[in-house]
Amino acid sequence: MRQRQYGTTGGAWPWLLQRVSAVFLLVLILLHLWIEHFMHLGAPITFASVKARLVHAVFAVIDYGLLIVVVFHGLNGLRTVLLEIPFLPHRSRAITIGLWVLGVVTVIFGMDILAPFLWGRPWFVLK
Amino acid sequence: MAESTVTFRVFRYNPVTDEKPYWALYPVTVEPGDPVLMGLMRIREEQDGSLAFRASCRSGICGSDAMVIAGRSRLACKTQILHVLNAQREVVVEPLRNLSYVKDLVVDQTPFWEKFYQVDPWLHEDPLSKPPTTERLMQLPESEFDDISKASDCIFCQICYSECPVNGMDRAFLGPQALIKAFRFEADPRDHGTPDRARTLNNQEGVWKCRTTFNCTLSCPKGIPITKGIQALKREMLTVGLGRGGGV
Amino acid sequence: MAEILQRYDVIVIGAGLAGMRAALEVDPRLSCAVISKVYPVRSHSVAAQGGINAALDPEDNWKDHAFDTIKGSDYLADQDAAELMCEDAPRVVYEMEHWGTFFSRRPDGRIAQRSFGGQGYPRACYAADKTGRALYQTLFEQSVRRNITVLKEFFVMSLATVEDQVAGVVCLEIRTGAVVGIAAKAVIFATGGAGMLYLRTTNPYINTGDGMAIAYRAGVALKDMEFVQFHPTTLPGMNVLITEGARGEGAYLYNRDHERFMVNYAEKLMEVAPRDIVSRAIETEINQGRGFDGGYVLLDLRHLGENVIKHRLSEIYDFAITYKGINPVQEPVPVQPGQHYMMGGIATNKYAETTLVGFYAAGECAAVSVHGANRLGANSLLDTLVFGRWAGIQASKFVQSNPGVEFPTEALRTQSALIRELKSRHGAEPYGPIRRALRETMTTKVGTFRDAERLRQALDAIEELEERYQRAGIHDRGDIFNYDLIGFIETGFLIDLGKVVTTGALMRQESRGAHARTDYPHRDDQKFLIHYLFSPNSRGQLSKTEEPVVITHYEPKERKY
Repeated sequence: MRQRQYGTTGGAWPWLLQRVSAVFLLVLILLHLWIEHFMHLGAPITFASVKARLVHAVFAVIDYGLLIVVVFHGLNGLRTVLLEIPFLPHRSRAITIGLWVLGVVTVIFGMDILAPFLWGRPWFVLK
Repeated sequence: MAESTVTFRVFRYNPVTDEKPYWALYPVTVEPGDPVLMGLMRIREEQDGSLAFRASCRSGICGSDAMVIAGRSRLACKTQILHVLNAQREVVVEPLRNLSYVKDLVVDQTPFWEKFYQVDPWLHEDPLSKPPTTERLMQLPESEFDDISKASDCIFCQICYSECPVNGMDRAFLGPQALIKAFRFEADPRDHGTPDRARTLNNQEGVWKCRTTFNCTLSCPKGIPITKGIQALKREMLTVGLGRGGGV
Repeated sequence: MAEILQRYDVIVIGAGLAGMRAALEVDPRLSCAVISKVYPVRSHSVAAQGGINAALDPEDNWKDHAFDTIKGSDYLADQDAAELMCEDAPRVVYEMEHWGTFFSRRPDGRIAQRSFGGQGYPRACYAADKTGRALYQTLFEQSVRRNITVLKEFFVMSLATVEDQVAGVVCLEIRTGAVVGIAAKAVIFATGGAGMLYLRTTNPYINTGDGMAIAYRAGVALKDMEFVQFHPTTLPGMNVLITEGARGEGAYLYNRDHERFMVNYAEKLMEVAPRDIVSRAIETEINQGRGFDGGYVLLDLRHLGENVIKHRLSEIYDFAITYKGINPVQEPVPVQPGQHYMMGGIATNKYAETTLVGFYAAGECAAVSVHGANRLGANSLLDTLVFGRWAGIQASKFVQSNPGVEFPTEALRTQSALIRELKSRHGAEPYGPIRRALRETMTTKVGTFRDAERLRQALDAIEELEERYQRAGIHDRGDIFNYDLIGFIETGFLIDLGKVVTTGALMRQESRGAHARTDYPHRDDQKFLIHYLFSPNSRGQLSKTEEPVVITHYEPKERKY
């Protein structure tokens, strides 16, 4: 008479990481805004000034970190929204894999954009 | 006491004779304090015997007569007629949401009960120790005792199930009632059922589907802080889920 | 209209405490089904508030519990049965606790107990003021665990018998309107009370005495039916129950002159005197003009303090606010007596057996009798669990040694013909006014105080109603969820029971327990220390037999509190 339902077990990790990434996001965005707009208030943003800043590891970590956290938080949220749609929950595996691929590609692309500031030239995509 | 006449606007549908649902209007004489259920009973006994609705205790403890009154799911026996009149002095009565209606105000409760069964709703003894043969002592801080006591106030009325928007979107979601029942046992120090229940609780259709809209907490006629209980379950399932490495 | 036949070894009618307890006790190797006209958790067992008596404390003794029970019954209880119940009580409470019941606790972790009416020791174990719900949910949960089959929303209409043996029941599947025969080797009735006989009652709409009336029609005697308990404290209006636990915790009763009037009726126990005494006291105060307009007195809880009210009496706190707009922390609560419990019922022995072979009864629908002329508070939950269990044990034993009898299909045909005939009646009076008139008659003429003249009037009125009922009809001719049909059949049950209650009350020319005759104000052990049993004779009229009261250790004495 009693049947186990058809949802996938698990769900703790996405739930937890969404909250953890939200905390990181809050800190990183504030830092990012401070660095970009307030640290040198009034000074024009030039390629050289950005480059000079980014050679410091701290700033690089903040920007790369922000990139990863934004992408994860956004796509994990999107996954939740997609799974909310009736008829989609049983496709959760495909959705999850698709979003992971999308996320990894986006992060690589973002890193590539930051690369010229650190190594003088992009890695691969934007040659 | 001041008697007055109001109109009951009741959702009617008989699958055998009616193509689609319709509204029926019944004038009912009421006194201040009369609950909606009293009005419905008068309609059934005096005006139209074919009106179908469930009812039993008249005092909000058996959970039979939940229905949508003036747009919200409520117990007909705990809702006063004069509190829910619209501008036309009508009481609008409909069947519960998120469960399919069968006849008039009667809904098919099967999905609700199926989900309740899935949380293994009984006290799981410690598999390693023998059952006690004499009195078992239990000491609990007052706040924990109150949490369990409140959670066990559930009368299975299905109002939270009807008001939960997630249940409306996703028929597979366990729903607030099954979750608060699970909490009642999970919070009980005598219970050892976590591994069994985790299969349904630590699940995309389990605790993680709750979107904390608080509709259940607001609508519960017994005042159970359902969302708070579900959040406590989430915290518990976090340790279970991460410990097992439940997949992302 | 379909006719179907299902087969089980044991069926239990009624999914309340007694029914569920019986089903849990049925040997798991036998096929068993519980049949209920509502979903299981809707049973009235969940409405019990105050507690369940058990002599748990080392200072207490089950024999004292038995004595209190027997004295409370005004010596009409069968003493061997009361002893069996009271001795078994601690085991029952421990078993329920092990299964998960969330009892209130003392600071040292033991199960909390409070004073209750007529008890010489605080021995009512409780779960706040929702003990029935706590116990019932535990049994319901156990039934889910054991996968017990419950036929939900099946309305039993009659017993099928072959000579002196039970063959099953005929019921109406409410969802489809099908008449379903359920063949069984043993049938257990646990169908509860008949509060719908009265206008002022704490009972739900579903307590229409179905089981009692069905058994009676099948020739099983009803015992002690003249004893109807009126609960002293119900909220005027809907007559929602205000637990005796409130007085157990120390609440006071006041009349209009702000006098704790119980001092005039039960000097020692005051507010925690047994229910019959407190109910009569309140009625007397009201009748003599010391009540409030609208016929009530006041229950004052304020001195108990907010903490006790909100934690140990949380339900009635909610009730007072919801139904009266009164906050009991700040204001006294209006209360009046209302019908609460039927001491009488299907005559059984102390093992839940009846005179019909294979047929058992337990809980409120049965009269063992442990409650005699007046039930003590917190003894009915105990009764359901003790005798429900016995019914399960005895039914299992019976089935293992008895092949049962073939189900008589004419029983099925009779009922479906009856329904067909009912649905074909046109322009007939609905049952509603008849039922209301019956309830009014019972309330005004067969209530707390009775006398020969009014009882005779009541009997005449009921007979008149019976005639009207024969010609009455229904509105709804459909099959599915036809509550009109069910209400109609239930009204027939109530009329039968009303006659039995009134006849018994007229014949018992004495005052004992809940049965107070103003024309015979004293107890008469010479003539009436007996049970009255009523069953229908071949012409369908009442025939009375008598049964002696079992006396073991406790000689009947004057009852003073």
